[in-house]
Amino acid sequence: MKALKISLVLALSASLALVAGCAKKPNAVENEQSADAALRDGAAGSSAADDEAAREAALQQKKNRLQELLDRIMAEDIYFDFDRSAITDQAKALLSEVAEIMIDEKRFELVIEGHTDERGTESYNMSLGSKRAKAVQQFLADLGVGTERLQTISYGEEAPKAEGSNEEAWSQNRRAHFTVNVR
Amino acid sequence: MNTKTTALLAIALLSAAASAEENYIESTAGAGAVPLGMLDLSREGRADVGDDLDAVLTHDLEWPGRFRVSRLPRVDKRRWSDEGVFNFVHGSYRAFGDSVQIELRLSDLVSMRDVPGMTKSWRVHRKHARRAVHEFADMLAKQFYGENGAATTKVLFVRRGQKTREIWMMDYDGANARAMTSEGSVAMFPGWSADGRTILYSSFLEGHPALRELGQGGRSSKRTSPAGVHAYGGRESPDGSKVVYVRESGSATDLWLMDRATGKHERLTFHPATETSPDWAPNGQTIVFTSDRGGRPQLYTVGADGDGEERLTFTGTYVESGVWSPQGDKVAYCAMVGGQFDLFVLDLATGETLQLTEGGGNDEAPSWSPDGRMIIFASDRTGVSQLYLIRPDGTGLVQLTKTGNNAAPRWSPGQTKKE
Repeated sequence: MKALKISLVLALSASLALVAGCAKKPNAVENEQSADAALRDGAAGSSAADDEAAREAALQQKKNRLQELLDRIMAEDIYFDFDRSAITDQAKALLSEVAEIMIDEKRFELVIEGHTDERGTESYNMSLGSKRAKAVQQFLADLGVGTERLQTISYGEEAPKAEGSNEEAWSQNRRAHFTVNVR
Repeated sequence: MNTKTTALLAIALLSAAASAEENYIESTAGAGAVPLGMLDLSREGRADVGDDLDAVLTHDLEWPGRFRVSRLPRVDKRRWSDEGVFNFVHGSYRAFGDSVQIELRLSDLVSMRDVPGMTKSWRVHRKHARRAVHEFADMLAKQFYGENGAATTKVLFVRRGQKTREIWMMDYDGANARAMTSEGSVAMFPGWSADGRTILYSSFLEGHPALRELGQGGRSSKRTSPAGVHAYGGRESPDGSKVVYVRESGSATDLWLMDRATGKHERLTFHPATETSPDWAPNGQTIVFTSDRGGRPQLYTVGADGDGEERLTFTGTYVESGVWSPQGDKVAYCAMVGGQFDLFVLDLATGETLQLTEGGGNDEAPSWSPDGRMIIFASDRTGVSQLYLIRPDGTGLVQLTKTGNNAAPRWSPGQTKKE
C-alpha cells in the first residue's frame, strides 16, 4: 500500500519534471534575449525576466495546489459505492476546487482513470470504470472545464491499488486516478 | 458397424450394471457414459515421457462424459462383463532417445480381436506424446459417438502478474501452459479467429484498451481497432468475416462490428445504456450480449444486422458473460447469487435454466468446448482465480490450473493443428 502510494507520487513528480523540462527550453531562449536587451537598456529587460519568473512561480504554485487536491482525492477512498458511478458528496467538494484551478490555468490537462474493485466481471467492470471516469469528467465539464483537457481511460478491475479480497482493499480499488499534464 | 452396435447395447445395459459397482464411485465419468475397459499401457524399456499417459487418456475419455473407464492391469472378462464393458483400450510406448514410439488400439472383449481401423501408432518427440494420446481419444469419440472430440484443442487465458496481465495458452487439459504475449502491459479478453490461427485480444499497450491480434507463430502483434479508440473484447464471427467488439461511445459502451474485408467499423447497438460481452451464435446470425438498459445487467440478443433486439434473461441482479454453445441450443452465463457468481446454462428451446455451480467463491467467464460437452471457467474458490472444467449438466468438476492467477479462459474452435 505505502509503496504504491510512494511510487504514484514519484510517477507524478517524474511526469511534472518532464513537463517542466520541456517548458524551460523556450524560456532559456527568452532569457538570453532578455539578457541581450538588458545589456542594451538595463532596467526594462530585467523586469521582463522577473515577470517570466513570477509567472512560472505562480504556475508551479497552482500545480502544487492542484496536485495536493488530487492526492487527497486519491488517498482518501471517497469516490464510489460498489457497482455505482455516482460521485460522493465528499469527492464533489474536492473536485469543485479542482475545477476552479483548471479554469484558472488553461495549461493544465487531466488524465482521469476509472477503476473498479475485483468483484463483478472483467467485461462489465471495464464499462463501470469508464462510467466512473466519465462521471468525473462530466462533473468537471459542468463546472466549466473543457472536455478536451479531460482525457478518460477505464482500467476496469485490471489495475488494483490494493491487494486482497476484503472491503478495505475493495474500497481503495474503487477509484478515479489522476495524472496532471501541463500543455 | 459392429462396435457401434455393441456401444448401443452397452448404453442399454449400463443402468443394470452401474448400481452395484463400487468402482464407479471414484470415477469422474458422467451419467450415460459408455463403459470402456482400459489396460495399463505397457512401458517398454526406459520409456520416460515425463507424463502419465494412462491418466492423460483416462481424462480425455471421462471428462467430456463419453466414457466410463474401468482400468485394470490385465484382462478380466468376467469383471468387465459385469461392468457392461464390451470394448477395451490397450497399448504400449517405447523410447528411442528423445522420441517415443506409441501404439494404441481398441479391442472387442467378446471376440478378443482388434476393432478394424482402431489401431494407430505414432513416432513423435516425447514432449508430443500427450498429443498422440489426445488424437486416439478423438478417434474413440468418432467411433462410438460419431462426434469430433475436443481432446486436441487449446485454451487461451489471462495470467495475472503483480502489475501486468499477459495472454497464455494451454492444452484443454491444463498441460503445456505458456505465455503468448510478453508486453509488460495489461492484456485481456483473449479469443480465437474462426479458423483457430489468430489470437484476438485487447491490450493497454498504447495507453488505453485497444483490439490487437497475434498471427500464427505468435511473434508480432498488431492493433486492429482505429487509433485512439477505446475498444476491447473482440469476437470473430463463425465465418470469419466480422469481429464484434465493445467500444466506448459517449458515457457508455456499445457493440461495434469490424468488417474483415472492407476494414470498416460500424456501430451495432445504439442504446444509451452499457452494452458489453458480445458472443456469436454458431450460425453467425445472432449475437448474445449484456446490457444494463433495464437497470441491472441482463443478457440480450441482437441480429448481426442490428435488428431484432430481445431480452434473454429475466431473473437475478447481475447476469453476465453469455456464451452460445457450439451446437446453438444453449447459452451459458454467470449470475450473481448472494453476492457471488455462479454458473448457469439456459436451454433455448425449453427456456429452462440449470444452475451448474453453487457457492464457494465466484465462478465466472464460461467458455464451451467445441464439442459442447464441457465448459471451462474461472473460479476464485481457492482464494486465487484458477481455471476449472465442468459439464453442462453440472457434473464432472475438475481443477485444471494450480499455479499463478488465471482468468478469462477461451476455448479454441475445433481440432487444432499439430505445432
